[in-house]
Amino acid sequence: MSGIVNEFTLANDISELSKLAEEVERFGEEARLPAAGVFKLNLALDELVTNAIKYGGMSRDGCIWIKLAREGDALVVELKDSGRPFNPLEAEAPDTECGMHQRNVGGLGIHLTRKCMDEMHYERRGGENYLRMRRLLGRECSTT
Amino acid sequence: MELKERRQDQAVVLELSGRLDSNTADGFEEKLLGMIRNGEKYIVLDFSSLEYISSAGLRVLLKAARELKQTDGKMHLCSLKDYIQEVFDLSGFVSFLPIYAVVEDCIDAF
Repeated sequence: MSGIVNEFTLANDISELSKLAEEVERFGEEARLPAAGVFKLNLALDELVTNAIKYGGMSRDGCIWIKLAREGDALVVELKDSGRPFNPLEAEAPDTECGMHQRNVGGLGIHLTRKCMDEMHYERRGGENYLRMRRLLGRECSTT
Repeated sequence: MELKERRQDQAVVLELSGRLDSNTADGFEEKLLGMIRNGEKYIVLDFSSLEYISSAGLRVLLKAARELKQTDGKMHLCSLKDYIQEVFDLSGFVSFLPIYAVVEDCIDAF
């Protein structure tokens, strides 16, 4: 089951979320991920891609490169974008305990990404944001 | 994403199917907030055919819940897939969005 890889690019347009979903689905089938695993992988990437497209300030023809791989008991996800420097590991976590009126939804997406991944590593290199993430298979999002 | 709307007792039931993400959230927001501004007070969101939700969808639900609070209205959710329920748990939205098993339970709880 090792050696399953899907590598693709997305244009700088929010409608590309449909392509992301198709690519994640295809990878999920090949890597035999359960529906919940496919969902979490898609969610983790959706939030990062949406952020990059909406707030990253990429040029019109900028694109996002994504590589999904199954390596043994883990999924390894890499993502590169040419937007302004943004380290999601430094993003402030939202207060998920407070009431409806105090809620600020900013930061919620990145919070969900972090919850869906076991490891995240960020680098700014060559004028691009580079993220490498891992998720152990057989483990679903932790609710703790 | 597709939306089906029907009336059941005093409530309006919106059945969502497909994907609620940044691509589809604006259309859903327009529909949901439009209903609230037109005076709907009891809203059921049936998620039985909803396959996907991201923070963009949660943002719409938060806006709607805030507007409903001002009109003493209520919004109840039901039939969430396990992995969608988990997103609500992780985000803490369960504290202000009541979730039930089926539409009838949502309506009984109004």
